[in-house]
Amino acid sequence: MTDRLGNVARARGLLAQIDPIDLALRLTLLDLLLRPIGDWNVRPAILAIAAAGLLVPGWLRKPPLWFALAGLTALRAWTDWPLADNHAYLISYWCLAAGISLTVKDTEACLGLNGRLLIGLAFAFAVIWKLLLSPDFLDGTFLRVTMLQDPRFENWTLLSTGLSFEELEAQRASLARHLDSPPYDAAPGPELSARFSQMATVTTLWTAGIELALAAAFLCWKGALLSRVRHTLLIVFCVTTYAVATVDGFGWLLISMGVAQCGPQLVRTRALYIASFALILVYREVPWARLLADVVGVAGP
Amino acid sequence: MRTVSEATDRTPTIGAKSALFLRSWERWVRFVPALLLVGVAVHQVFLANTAGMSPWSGGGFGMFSTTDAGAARHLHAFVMRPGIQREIRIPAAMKDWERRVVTLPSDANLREFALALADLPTPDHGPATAVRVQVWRTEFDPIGLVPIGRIHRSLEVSLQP
Repeated sequence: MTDRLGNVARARGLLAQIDPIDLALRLTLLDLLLRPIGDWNVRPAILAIAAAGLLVPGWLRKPPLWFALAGLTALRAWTDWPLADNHAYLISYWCLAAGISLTVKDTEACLGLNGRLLIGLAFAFAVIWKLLLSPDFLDGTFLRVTMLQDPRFENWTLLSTGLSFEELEAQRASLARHLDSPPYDAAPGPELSARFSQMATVTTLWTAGIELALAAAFLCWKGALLSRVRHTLLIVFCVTTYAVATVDGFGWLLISMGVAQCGPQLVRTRALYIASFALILVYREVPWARLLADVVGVAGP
Repeated sequence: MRTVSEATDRTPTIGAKSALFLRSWERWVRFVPALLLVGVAVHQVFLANTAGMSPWSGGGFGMFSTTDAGAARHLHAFVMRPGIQREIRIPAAMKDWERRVVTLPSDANLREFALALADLPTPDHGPATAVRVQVWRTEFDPIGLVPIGRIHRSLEVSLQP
């Protein structure tokens, strides 16, 4: 017992010695290495620079490294226009923020400010789309269709809704009907269970609620109550969302930006961020929902 | 002596000005990433409302907000000759271009794509008079989740001089 407490204290001491800015920058480089972006024209250069930043002593805090990454990731979004996803844009802004922060005197404050603004604004626009602009999010249509149609949600859907694999397949066939030329088939698909609809409603409300809270927490003034729970909200969001939606690169990027705001005194928060980073890697590499579905007996072939 | 004295007096003034400039530069440059995010996202919302861009694309953080993803859209194209309207199959070499057009079906993108399609061979004789390009999206009935195909954007390009 004493040994275990000693190990915890040693781990805490080790973590306290790691500079939060160094940690945030390292996690960003890991994100770029674990979830490579772009095609052959930019990917090798991004990977080489990210690896060099981690391996070459002293390069982690070199502004040119970060400006190069910002330029290459921006080039990827530009050449892929309009197909690049949100992650491509956000990582480019974040690398630019790192480069700028490393050229100004108060690096810690500058990177922390950028982490707050980028997370807050990204969630603010996500909420604007979900609550105001999208025609089919709030009524639950989007999540019901996605839970049935998107293969990334398959095991989660089977686990949480009680649908059998055969029922899921029948729903998919119904959703995939091509209805823009005769003969039209406007018959409704197989009926969905009440449990499925409840699950979709809960997921819709949870997603909208936590994203709204995140936008408010990261954009409100620092002393506000909501601002003080922003790290908790972000960790809860990452741990829950990326268990279901395997968008690991975006999750790791959010964690890197969260760590940058921790300051030297928030050792436990940094530890939780690191644990969340590792957990998202586990979500990606271990098909936990599939294994659980196998145990419960609802998995497909 | 006077010259030396003036030079000595001036040095700290220039240094103070540089420091002031540096401080003000440092003050605003830190907001550049956030301003870029807002600029790109507002532009995306504008394109989604005026040019039919998919909310999932363009850096506006509209992913996972709607079923109208670019990948869920598709395209039909027709080459017209007098008395004939023939739907043409998009060649594999143009599939990447097609993906970009359905994701951002602005008039300019549709026109450029239509003109490229006009050069494709068809079994019909005589010069083509027009090319029509339609971008379709699938909406879902909120109650029964019945898929409904809708023309999202359409453009007919005349090929006659």
